[in-house]
Amino acid sequence: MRLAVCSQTPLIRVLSEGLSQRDYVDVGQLEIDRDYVFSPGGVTRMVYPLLLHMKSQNMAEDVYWVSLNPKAPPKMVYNGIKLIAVKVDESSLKSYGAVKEHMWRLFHGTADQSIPPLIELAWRDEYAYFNLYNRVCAETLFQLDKEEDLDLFYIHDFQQLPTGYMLQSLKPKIFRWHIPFDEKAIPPDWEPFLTKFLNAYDAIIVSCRTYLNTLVKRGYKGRAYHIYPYIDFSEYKRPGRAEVESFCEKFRINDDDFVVLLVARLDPLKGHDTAVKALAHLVKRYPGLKFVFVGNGSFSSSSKGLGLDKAGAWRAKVSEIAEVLGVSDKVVFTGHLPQNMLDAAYERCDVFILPSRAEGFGLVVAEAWLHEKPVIVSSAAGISEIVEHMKTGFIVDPNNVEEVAGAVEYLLVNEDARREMGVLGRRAVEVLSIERGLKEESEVLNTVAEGFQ
Amino acid sequence: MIVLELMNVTEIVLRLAAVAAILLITYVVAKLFSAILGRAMRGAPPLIVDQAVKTVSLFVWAVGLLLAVNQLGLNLDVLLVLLAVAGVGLIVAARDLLSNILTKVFMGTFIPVKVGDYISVNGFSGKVVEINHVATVILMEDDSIAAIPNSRFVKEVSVNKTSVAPQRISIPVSIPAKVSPPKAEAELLKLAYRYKSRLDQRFPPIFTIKNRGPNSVEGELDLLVADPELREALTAELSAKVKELLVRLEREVASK
Repeated sequence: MRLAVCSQTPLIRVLSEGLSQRDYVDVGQLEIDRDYVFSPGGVTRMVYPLLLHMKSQNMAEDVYWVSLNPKAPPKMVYNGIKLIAVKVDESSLKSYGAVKEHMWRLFHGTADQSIPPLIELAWRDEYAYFNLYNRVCAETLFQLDKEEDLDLFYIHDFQQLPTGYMLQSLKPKIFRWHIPFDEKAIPPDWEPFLTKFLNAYDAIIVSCRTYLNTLVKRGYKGRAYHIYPYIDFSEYKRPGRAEVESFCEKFRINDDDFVVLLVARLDPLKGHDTAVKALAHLVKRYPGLKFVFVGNGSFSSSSKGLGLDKAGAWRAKVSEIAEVLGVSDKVVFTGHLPQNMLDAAYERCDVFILPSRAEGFGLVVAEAWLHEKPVIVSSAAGISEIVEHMKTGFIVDPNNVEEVAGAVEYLLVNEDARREMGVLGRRAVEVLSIERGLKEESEVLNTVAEGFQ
Repeated sequence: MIVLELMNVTEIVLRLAAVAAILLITYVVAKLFSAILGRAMRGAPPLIVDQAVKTVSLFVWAVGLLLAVNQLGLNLDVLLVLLAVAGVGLIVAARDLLSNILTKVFMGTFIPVKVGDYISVNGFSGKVVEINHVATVILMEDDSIAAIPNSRFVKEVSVNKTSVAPQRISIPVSIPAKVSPPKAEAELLKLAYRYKSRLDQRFPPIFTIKNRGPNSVEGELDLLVADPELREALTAELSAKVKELLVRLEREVASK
């Protein structure tokens, strides 16, 4: 099979300015962290292992990764995967980014009055540039197919939805919807607009069963699958004592602190403010409480990506809330952490929390389970579908600060419950193993590529 | 024969050389025209392209042969009459085919029928699954298909049962090769947005690429008018604006 993946997120982010002048680059010849970094995020962490797996199992002979990468050379190769850069001029990219952010909030059901409904958004001049980005992707894929005679297109994430519709090819197309596809956020009057794009795909994969139901309800007629996102357990090592101590020293965490950890990019949706407010509820009675926030911006929301520095603004806002509530000395922002430090953070924490207002899935909960930690998960997160309330974790309403604080307090005072929940969570996480995910996903890809009978 | 007897050998050789040269040029021109036509019709069905290439080739050879015969000093009148009769005969024989091909041009714009529509024409009802250069193919309720010659759509009343058909506007767009299609598309959409108050706002405009040629990319701008009575006027106005826009974009590229 010759497969082309298309995603806004590049597999590799090029750091070295001079590289964009070259026509072709073998990433193997470059130095990580100086010339390039591996893109963080759900799409790359899931799709990259899938592609490697398919190559190693001889299920895919050639694999291409087409993505937005303004600073990269047109063609690169990384570990046998051919990377094709999509280039869009800066002013178009700005409009594209603005529309994408609006859409993201609309699909997460968190848009305020300043954001128009989806259909109205599609009448704005900025939308023409959102459309332009998708057209450039579709044209790039079309050209690639002409040169390489591909067998399958695998397109990722909501902002790429029009790409499949625009791609003038009858070859099979699969779409992976990574964010929530929730009935409450997607009203029926969006249906004609959405289904036109959705029905351009032979198959659509969503992350949860509930999203699958909405997809069918909103008029999708093709094959629909739900596959839970997955992670490679072997990437998560239990850190040694020295690494944990080094983490604590760096972020001034004392031995007797009760650490509540939140790993998420800095974004209003992730509910850092809810966590701070819950902390304020508890801190007088439990002065040893400390909330640790790990994460920075995404490719879109950081100043190094699309230049929409949402992360910086949100950090300032959360800090301000903490200041007003008098808990700023109890809140630690670590920024982005390398894997060993992240493992140390998980190891050191007593409770993991994900109070997102909306969350496509929430693989960080799986990471906490791998470290046998009790979790408090928002009911708006896709992963709550597999959390057993009071057994493998707590499911809380992210808009109810008292409920969140109550869950933290329960775990704070019940050491046995924490331990038991951690053990049960470690068992529950098996359903999110990369082996299971790769098997299910490659089965779907094969079925679609071979054609439904 | 009498003419030939009067000529000297040199003249005969020269005339034969001229005939040979004409035939050679005819061969080259026929090949050239076939290649150009083949490229220009790249998006059309192979059968149609093949027929068009053969017809053009035949015409070039007819002209070449006439010129060659003329070089030999023979009377052309009878040959010309025969060719004219053959030409008229060909047109009469192919008139149905030609009218079908011609009607295809108006499908979608002036005859509101598109693939996916539910229509009723000439006593047949069903979903349009294909509009080719000869016929419109519909899938009927009993799963049989009916091929309605395109010309029927100008001769008979066709009923389009698709709910949005009375509102639909499809404007053919030809983006010159020099202009970037994504940029042209963005400008086309922005142009359409200016008519928002006249359009059905539930359905934002959409552009679709249909064919790619060496000189242009052919596409279609699809919109839904709010008031079906304005369909024709809006089609005319938007078509004119689209043309102006494409000329401007081409000039901008040329001036850079």
